[in-house]
Amino acid sequence: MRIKDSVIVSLVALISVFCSGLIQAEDLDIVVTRGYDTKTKIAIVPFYWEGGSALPEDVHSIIDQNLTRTGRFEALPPRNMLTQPTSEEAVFYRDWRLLNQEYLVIGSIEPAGNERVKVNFALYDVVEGQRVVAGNQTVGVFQLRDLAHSISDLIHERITGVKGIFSTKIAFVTRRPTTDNNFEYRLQVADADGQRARTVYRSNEPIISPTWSHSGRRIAFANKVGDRWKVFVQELSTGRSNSINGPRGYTSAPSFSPDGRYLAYVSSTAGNPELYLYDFSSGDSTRLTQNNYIDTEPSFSPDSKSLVYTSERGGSPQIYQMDLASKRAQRLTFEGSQNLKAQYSSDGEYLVFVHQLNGRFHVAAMDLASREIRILTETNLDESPSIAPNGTMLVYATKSRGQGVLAWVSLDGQVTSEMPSIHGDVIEPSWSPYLN
Amino acid sequence: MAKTKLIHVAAITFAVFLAGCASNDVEETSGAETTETGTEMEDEGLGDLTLEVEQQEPVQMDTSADDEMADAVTSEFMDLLDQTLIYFDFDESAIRSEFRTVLNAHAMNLAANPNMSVVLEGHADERGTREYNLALGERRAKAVADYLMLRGVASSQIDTVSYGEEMPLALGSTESDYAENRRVEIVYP
Repeated sequence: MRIKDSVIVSLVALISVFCSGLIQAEDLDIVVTRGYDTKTKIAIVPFYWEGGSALPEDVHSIIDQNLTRTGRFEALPPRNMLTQPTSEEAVFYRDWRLLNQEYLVIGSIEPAGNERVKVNFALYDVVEGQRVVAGNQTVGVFQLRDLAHSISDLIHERITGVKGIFSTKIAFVTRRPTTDNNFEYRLQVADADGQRARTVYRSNEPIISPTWSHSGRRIAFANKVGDRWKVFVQELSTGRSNSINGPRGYTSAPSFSPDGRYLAYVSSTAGNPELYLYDFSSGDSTRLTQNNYIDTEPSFSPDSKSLVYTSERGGSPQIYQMDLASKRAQRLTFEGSQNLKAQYSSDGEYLVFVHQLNGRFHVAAMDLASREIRILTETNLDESPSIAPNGTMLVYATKSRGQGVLAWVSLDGQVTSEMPSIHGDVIEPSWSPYLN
Repeated sequence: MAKTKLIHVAAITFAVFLAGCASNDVEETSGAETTETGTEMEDEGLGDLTLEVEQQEPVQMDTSADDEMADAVTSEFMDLLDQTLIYFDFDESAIRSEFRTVLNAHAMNLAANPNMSVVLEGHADERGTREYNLALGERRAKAVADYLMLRGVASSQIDTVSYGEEMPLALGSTESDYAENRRVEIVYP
């Protein structure tokens, strides 16, 4: 079967990406705090395990949580299932129609020797009464979570037509108090569900504004070093980093261009925060703005030809767009007393940003064609929105019970999941691009 | 000792300055306690200066009226130098009038001691994005730096650094917490 073959090829490619560096795992729990009415109903039957000792991962639970977090799916609890088939012969569509299910996922896992397992899985359309896709993959036991994410991606794509984001990553900063009355800051990279966080950089001084290169191989961020802030560009595979900083003032707010040629950043070395463009091939920086106002938070358009950024040249911080060829800027936001930190969706059709309304800070989205603004989050102090590469949801930072937490919201603004940290504040999330 | 004298010079210049400007700011601070000079000095944070002023105490006992007045002015002056937090309004970097007296004292101190340096640490409350608050913290630190330079402090004596919203003094999320966090800290290294 042609489809099956291509699926297996992509799974192998995915797994090879994730084989490296799973050190310092620190799990974070997910709590879905709000729901959505018109969800796709899906039954994910617990995968049958033919081996003896328990497996380290619960594949069906991971798939369940992944799909539920998007806000588009409602998974049937296994205890409500009439039967729990593990092979196609045992699938009776009538049973699942009785339970109002639209889709069914089954699977089995068998020992393949040498700490490896073979995973079989299939997705069925209950309404149409037919198999949508089936596949199998032999992986190391420790790769089961990666495989569960890949299966989730496949299910999401086959049902919604949109590529899943479960195998992508999220970078964020954690801040925890130390015994000597200071803080320890860690830049972490975790699975898109917040699990398996590993530290890629740590400091006793603040780290902010992590952002991914479009290859997914590098992360840029700002770190306070003594009386300066420096921008670091770190290679994830090697941990090697380069820094950009001026002789005076601060350097921060990095943003990679999608074409990989430039890094936009902010420096106040000339006396005032201005936008600069660093050219990776020449090593030269070009200044983009020159005025007495704050210009900051640049972010590239998908075609790399323009930037959105925050400027308070009109009296309050608002979103502007600069065409990089002409260096001309136009103001994009007029509603709300402040609008900050904008980011384009990957299709370039809308922006998400921080919107101040009646003294509270929310995440909002603006359709660039109609200029219509929709507020997506209801909590206060929401910041740092970062869109998933498929544009269906975003992650942002907020405060819950006095602690910094990450939260997800779908772009229809109707679902929010929260990711509380085990210890300390979690801030400044940044969603990776697709990594395969 | 040289440094002690400089403090006196700065303090007396300061007294002349205060006499010359009849603002509300002056009245607010003119009632400052002038007793317990020694112990107050302990809290200075200006280690070497403290020691040198303390050594003057024997002289103080059998001194003339002029010197007593000088010491009183010095004490009041040192009280002002003890005040190292300058607060700001939301999204603002303008120096509020009630902080001019304190900043004038720091300016006199630094102008009279050209070898002395100061770090101005700018901070913002947690509202708004971290990057914007980094810019705002820097702008506040620079507003204080400009104020000090207008009053004779050399730019080479001043370093500014912004912490943005990253190092709040008050950890809550009330209006009074925010007011406490929107600040510039004057730090003598």
